[in-house]
Amino acid sequence: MKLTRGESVFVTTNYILLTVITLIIIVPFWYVISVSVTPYHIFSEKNGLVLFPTSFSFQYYEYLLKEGSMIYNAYGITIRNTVFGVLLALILTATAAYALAEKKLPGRRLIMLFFVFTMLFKGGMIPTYITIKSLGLLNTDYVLILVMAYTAFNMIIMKSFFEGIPENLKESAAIDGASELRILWRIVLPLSMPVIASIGLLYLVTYWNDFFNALLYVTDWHKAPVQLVLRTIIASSSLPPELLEAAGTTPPPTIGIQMAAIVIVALPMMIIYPFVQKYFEQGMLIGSVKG
Amino acid sequence: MGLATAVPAKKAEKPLKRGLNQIWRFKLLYLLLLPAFVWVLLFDYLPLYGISIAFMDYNVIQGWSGSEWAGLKYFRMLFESEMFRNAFRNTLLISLYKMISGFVCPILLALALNEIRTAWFKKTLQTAVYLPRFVSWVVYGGIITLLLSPETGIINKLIELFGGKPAYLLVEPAYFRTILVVTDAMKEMGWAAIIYIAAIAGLNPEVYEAAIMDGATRFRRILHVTLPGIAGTIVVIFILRVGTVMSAGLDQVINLYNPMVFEVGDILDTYIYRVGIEQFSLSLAAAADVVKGLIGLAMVLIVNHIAKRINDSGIF
Repeated sequence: MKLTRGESVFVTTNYILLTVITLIIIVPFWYVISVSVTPYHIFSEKNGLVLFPTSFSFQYYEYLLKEGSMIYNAYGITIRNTVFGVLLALILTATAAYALAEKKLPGRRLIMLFFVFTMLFKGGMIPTYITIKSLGLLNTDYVLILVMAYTAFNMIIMKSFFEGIPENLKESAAIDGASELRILWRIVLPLSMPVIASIGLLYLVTYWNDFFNALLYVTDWHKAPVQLVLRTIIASSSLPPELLEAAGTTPPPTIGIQMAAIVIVALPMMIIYPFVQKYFEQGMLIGSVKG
Repeated sequence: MGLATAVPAKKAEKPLKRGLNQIWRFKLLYLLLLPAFVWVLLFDYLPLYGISIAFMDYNVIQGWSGSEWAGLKYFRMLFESEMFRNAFRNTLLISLYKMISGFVCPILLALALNEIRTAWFKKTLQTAVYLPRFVSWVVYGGIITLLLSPETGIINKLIELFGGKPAYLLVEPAYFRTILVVTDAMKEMGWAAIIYIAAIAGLNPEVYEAAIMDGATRFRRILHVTLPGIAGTIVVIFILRVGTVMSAGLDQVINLYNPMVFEVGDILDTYIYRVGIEQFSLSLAAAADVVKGLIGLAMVLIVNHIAKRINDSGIF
């Protein structure tokens, strides 16, 4: 189709505009990676303008990933929290959603109200903190796994997906003598993989990126996840000694360490998201259908 | 929403037994509900009880039982506090600015992306603009801080290049809110655009063809076909955003602010965090939580009411 002149101006402007917006969003990430691999003398020589690194140095990474560094411990904690957290979250969300999707369940409306009410009114940061404290969960290994394990919104999304599964599939299985658990496990869950995957991924990002719950509930450095350690590295202009226990060497300039730490912490998500993006999109859409 | 088959309250004894039987029949489903039920009880409802400390001289050592009731003392203290009023105003302002930018940008982005006909280009752009959504505010805050730093930040280099004077932008009260709004849009707009992109994809192509036949330019097609087509989605998203007006973005602010910009950047959540966790005035901070929660609740109810009148489908 031939474009009129006005249209080709429109199209060209649009292409340019979108490219610029995309660059504004992407370049900062590229810039951080550049700074993290540029030797400090070149960085200061060029006044920080190192969009394209001309020479490379991995001293910051070496420093951060030295043997005995706190980073490993924190990474282990983040991975542990994420794995167990996502599993637990999926179990809690899916079981509740499955039960509440059953329209014949006596008392369903009341139970639903119980589950949804806290979307409207929450206790807030301090009452929650006090609760966690009185439950004896402060500074425990599982506090971060537990506190993020259920979101009413995700449960509702899953529930509306389960409700869309044809009733007669479940009924015929029941006639064949399958128990509820069996129906959930063999029929409903396999049919619900899109919603399970996308909500699982939402929880994954939540667990991996959480720092505020960690800030509130974890004060012991040996129990801190990577985001919290990163926050300390970024917030302090000099590195706290308890973070990097490998003593004896003078640390390289802070800015490079900070940027390298950012890359180390953000990299896993940055690598996986293009591959799992379509599940996230599905998740967003499943959510938006409900509105 | 389907109604629950409540226990039929017909005649005596038999129906009761039938009701219990009915409940017993679903025992496994109740069992499945139990884990989430316990979770919600512990982590959502216990904190509701914890609100009581806002009305007490709560003392950590003595706990609930040993602390004296204080009535509305802490609420009075709050409203007399300059810092609280400040945080309150900032929350509303920042929320409002973000509501405008964070609401308009994704729509424009979706409209613009929709006009791209080169599939690979569109896909690449889309993937690229999603990226920031997948990093935490600790990470993104660190990146922003680097970009804006006075000596080395690339933004300052650009300012110098165009003859301006470099400044440490993050400690300038005059710029802080702008930085919050812009970086929030940068981080979230790609992701937020998905819903609109999907809504546009669901529009009827025949309407476009008709518009083309009528000689509508691309711009006119956007204005008269696409935008009205996604108006319903826009309304729903807008409502959801208004409901969160009391949360101006804790993760972002706590990672970007500093004492130099408290006056313009301190929001209710950061105020509560500082007062409650750092200064350990738990009752005062809890009172602020209550104020925040009540206003948030009121907003949700009002907005839902309006939504029901507009398109007959509230959020709940």
